[in-house]
Amino acid sequence: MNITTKMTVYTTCILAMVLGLLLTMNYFKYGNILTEVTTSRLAVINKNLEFSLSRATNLGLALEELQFADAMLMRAKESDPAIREILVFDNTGKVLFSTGGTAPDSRMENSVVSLLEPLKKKDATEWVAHTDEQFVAGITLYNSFDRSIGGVVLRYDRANYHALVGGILQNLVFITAVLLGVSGLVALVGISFGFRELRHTYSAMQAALAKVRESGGTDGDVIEDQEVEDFKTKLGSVTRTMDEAMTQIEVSAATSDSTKA
Amino acid sequence: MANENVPAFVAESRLTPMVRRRLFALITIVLVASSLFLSWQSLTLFESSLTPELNKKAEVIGLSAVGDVERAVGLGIPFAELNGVGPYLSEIGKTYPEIEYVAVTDVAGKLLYSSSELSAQTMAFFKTSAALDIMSGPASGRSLEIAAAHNLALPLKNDGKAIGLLHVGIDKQFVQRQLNDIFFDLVIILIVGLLVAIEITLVLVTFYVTAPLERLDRVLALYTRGNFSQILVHKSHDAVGSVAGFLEECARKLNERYERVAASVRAAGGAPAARLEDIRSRYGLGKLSKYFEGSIVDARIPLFIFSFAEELQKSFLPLFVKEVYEPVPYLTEEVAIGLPIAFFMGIIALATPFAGGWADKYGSRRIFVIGLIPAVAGYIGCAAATTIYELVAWRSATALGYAMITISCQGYIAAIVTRENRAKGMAVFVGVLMSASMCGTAIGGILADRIGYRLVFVLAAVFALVAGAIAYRMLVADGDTIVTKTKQKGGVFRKLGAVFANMRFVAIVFLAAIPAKIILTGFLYFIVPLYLFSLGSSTAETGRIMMIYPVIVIALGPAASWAADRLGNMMWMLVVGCFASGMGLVFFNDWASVWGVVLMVIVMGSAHAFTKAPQIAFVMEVCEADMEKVGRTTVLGLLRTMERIGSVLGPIIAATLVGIFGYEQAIMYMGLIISGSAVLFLVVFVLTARGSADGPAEGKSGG
Repeated sequence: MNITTKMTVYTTCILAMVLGLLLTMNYFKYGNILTEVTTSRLAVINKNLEFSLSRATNLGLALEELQFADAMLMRAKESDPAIREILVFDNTGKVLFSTGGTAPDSRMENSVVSLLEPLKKKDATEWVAHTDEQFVAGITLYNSFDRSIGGVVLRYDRANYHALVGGILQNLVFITAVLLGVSGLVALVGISFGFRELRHTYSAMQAALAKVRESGGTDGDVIEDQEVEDFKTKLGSVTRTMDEAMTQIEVSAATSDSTKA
Repeated sequence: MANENVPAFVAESRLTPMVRRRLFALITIVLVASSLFLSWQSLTLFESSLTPELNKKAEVIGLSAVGDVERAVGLGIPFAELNGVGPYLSEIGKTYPEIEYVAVTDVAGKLLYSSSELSAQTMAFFKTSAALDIMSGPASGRSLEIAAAHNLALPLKNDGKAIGLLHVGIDKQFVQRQLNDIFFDLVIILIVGLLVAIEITLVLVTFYVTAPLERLDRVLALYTRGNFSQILVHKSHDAVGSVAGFLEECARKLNERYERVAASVRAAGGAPAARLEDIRSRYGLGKLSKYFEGSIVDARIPLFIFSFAEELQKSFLPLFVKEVYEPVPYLTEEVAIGLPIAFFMGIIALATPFAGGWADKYGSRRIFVIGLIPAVAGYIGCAAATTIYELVAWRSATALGYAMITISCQGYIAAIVTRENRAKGMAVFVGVLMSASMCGTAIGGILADRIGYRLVFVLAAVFALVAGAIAYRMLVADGDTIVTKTKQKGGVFRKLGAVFANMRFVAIVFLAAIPAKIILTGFLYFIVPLYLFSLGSSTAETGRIMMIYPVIVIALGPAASWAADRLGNMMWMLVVGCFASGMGLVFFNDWASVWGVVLMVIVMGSAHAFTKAPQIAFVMEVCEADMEKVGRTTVLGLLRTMERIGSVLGPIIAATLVGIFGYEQAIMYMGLIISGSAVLFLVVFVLTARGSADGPAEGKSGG
C-alpha cells in the first residue's frame, strides 16, 4: 500500500470513527429525549387520574367502590390510541379497574410487578419504566391520612416510539454515510495534492535504495532527481562506512592469520 | 536517551513537521465541516420530530381540563357559575411550567375563568372569529400563534352542543428552550467527537507516518557516523520498511562478520585482538540491539482511553449508589452516598506516592499493566455490586489501579521529555486527562440512560483492557532508559521526607498547587452551582457554564506549552496565572449575574491553562536533584497527593466563607486568598533565589 493510500485509509478511518461516534450519540440522545417527552405526557394522564380518584377517596369512598372510575379510565385511554391499558390496583396488587384485557379482581401482571420491585425502596409516588414493547408509567394513590391505598398503572405502546426513533436512525445513517463518502473523497484529493512531497520522498527512497543495491554504493550513473541523489548519498555513505569497517575487520583477521602462521 | 544523541541529520528534514501539520489541518477541516453538518442535520431532524410530541403534552393537559369542566357542567351546574374552576386552572398552570395560562371562555369568547391575569390583547383574541370558529371543529382543537403564547383552543361541549372554549397558552419559548438544551448537548457531543479525533489523529500520524521517518533518519545518522550497534525494526512494506530492512541487513552482516573474526582473533590474543577491540568500540559492534525511541505520544492513547473509561461513571455514580443504598449505621443517607467517591479520592491520594515509587523501580509499562488488575476488577465488581459496602470496596480497588496507571504515565512522559520540552510534555499529560474527563463524562451520561449503569461499568472494564493492550504495545519497557536508578535507599516515607526538605518544592505545593485546587473545587465545583441556582439558572445552564473551564484548558493547552517553552520561565507563568485566576474572582464577583460567573470561569480557565502544565514542569526543574535521589515519579506522585489537600480544603473554605459573607463577598475573599498566595509565592522565590545557588532553577526560572 503506498503512502497516499495509507494516509487516505487512516484519515477515512478516523472520520468514520468520529462520525460513527456522533451518529451513535445523537441517536441515543434522541431516544432518551423522546422517552422523556413521552413519559412526561403519560405522567400528566396519570396525575389527572390520581387527582380525580384521590378526590373521591378523600371523601371517604373506598377505592373499589368508585363507580365513575371505569368511564374515567376509558376516557383517558381514548385520548391516545397508543395507550394499551390503564389499570387501578389496590395495595395487595389486586386489579380493581381496567380498560384492557386484564380482568378485574385478577392480580397485576408479573412483568409489571417486576418493574415495580426496584422502585419500592425509592419511595417514589410517580415512576416510569419500560420494556422493549411498552412504557409503563405509574402513580401511587394515597388516602386522606397519606397512606398508600393502591396505584394507577398506564401501559403505553412503544410502536410509535420505535417508528420515530427508527426513522431518525435511518436518516442519520444516510446523512453520515453520504458525509463519510464526501469527506473520504475530499481527504483523498487533499492527500494527493497536499502530500506530493511525501510521496516523492518515499519514491526517492525506493529509487535510491534500488540504485545502491545495484551499484553497491559506488557512484554510478547520474540521477536527475535531487532528492534521489541526496538519499543515495546518505545510503552510500552508510555502505561506505560499512565497507570501511568490514575492510578493517578483514585486515584484522588477515593479520591474525599471518601472526598464527 | 536515544533522541538526545541524534544530531543535525534530523534538523535537515522538514518533512515530518510538514506532514504532521498538513494532515492535522486536513483532518480537522474535513472533520469539523462534516461534524457540524451532521450536528445541524440532527438538530433539524430532532426539531421537526419533537415539536409535535412536545405539543401533544399540552393537548393532554388541555383535554383533561376539558373533561373535568364538561363533567361539572354535565351534572347540571350552570357553566358560568362553576365553583373552584379558577384555582383548579391555577393549579394546572403551576404544575406544568410550559403552560403560560389556562382560560375558559363562553360561546361569545367572554372570559369566565383563568389560571392567571390575562392581557387585554389575549382576551381580545378569544373573541375573534378565528378563535370562535374552533368551537365547531374537532375535539382535538386547533393551535394558533398569538402574541402572548402558542394558543391551543379546545371546544367545550354539553350534550353535544358547544358551550365555550378552553384555551391553553403554551409558553412560546418552551419548545425553543427544549431545543436549545438539545442544541447545547449536541455541541458537547461535537466537542467530544473532535477531541477523540484529535487524540487518534495525533497518535496515528505519529505512530505510522512521522515517527518511522524520524527514526529512519536518526538511524541513518548513526550509521553514517559509524555506529552500527542498533537496528531499526520496521516491518511495513513501504519505502521506510525497505530502507530499514536494507540498513538492518548491513548492520547484521557487519556484526556477524565481526563475531566470526572476533572468535578466532580473541583466541590468538596480542596486537590483532587489541586492534579488533578498537574496531568494536569505534563501530559499536558485538552487541546488536533494537533501536527504540520513547515518545510522549506512546503514553497518550493508553492514558486517554483509560481515563475515558474511568470518567464514564462520573455523571451517574451518586444515582447508582442511591439505587443500592441501604442505611449505614451512624451515617446519614447523604454522607453514605458520598462514601464511594470519598474512598476513591482518599485511596488515590494515599496510593499515588507509593505507585510513583513502584513506577520508578519497576518501570511505567509494568506498573500500567499491573494497575489494570485492581482497576478492571473494580469495574466488574461495581457492575455486580448490590450493596453500598461492595461499591465502596470496588471503587477503592479501581482507585488503586487509577493511581498506578496515571502516575506511571506521568512518570513515563517525565522520563521521555528533555529539560527544554518539559512543559510541552506535561501539557500533553494534563490535556489528555482533561479531554478524557470531558469525553467520558458526556458519553457516560448518555450511555447510562440507554444501557443502564451496570453495563457502563462493564464497558469501562473493556476500555481499560483495550488501554492496557495499547500501553503494552506502545510504551517502551527498556529498564535502562525509562527506569531511573534512585540513589537514596529506604522506604517511601524517607524519600518523601527528603523531598520536603526542599523549601522551593514546599513553596510550590502550598502557595501554587494547593491554592489552584482550592479555587477549582471551592469556587468552580462548590460555589458556582449554588450561586447560579440562586441567580435562577437551570441545572443544564449550570452544567454548560461549568464545562467552559475544561474546554478552555484544553483549547489553550498547546498555546500554554508553546509559551512555556518560548519564555522558559515557568515561575513567572505560575505567579501570573495564579494571581490572575484570583483576580478574576475579585473583579467580577459584584456583577451578581450569570455573565459575571461566566467571565470568572473564563478567566480562571485561561489562567489555569497557563499554569497546570508549567507547574509540573517547574516542580521537575526545582526538584532536579531530588528526582535523581528519590526518583522522578515519586516526586510527581507527592505533588499529586499534596494537590488533593487543596481539593479537600476548597469546598470547606468556600462553604465557610459563603456562610459568613454570602456568595459575592465569599467569591471576592477566595480570589484575594488565591492572588495573595501568588504574591507570597513570588516573595519566597525571590528570597530563596538570593540565598541559594542551585543551578537550573536559578538560571532558567529567574528566581
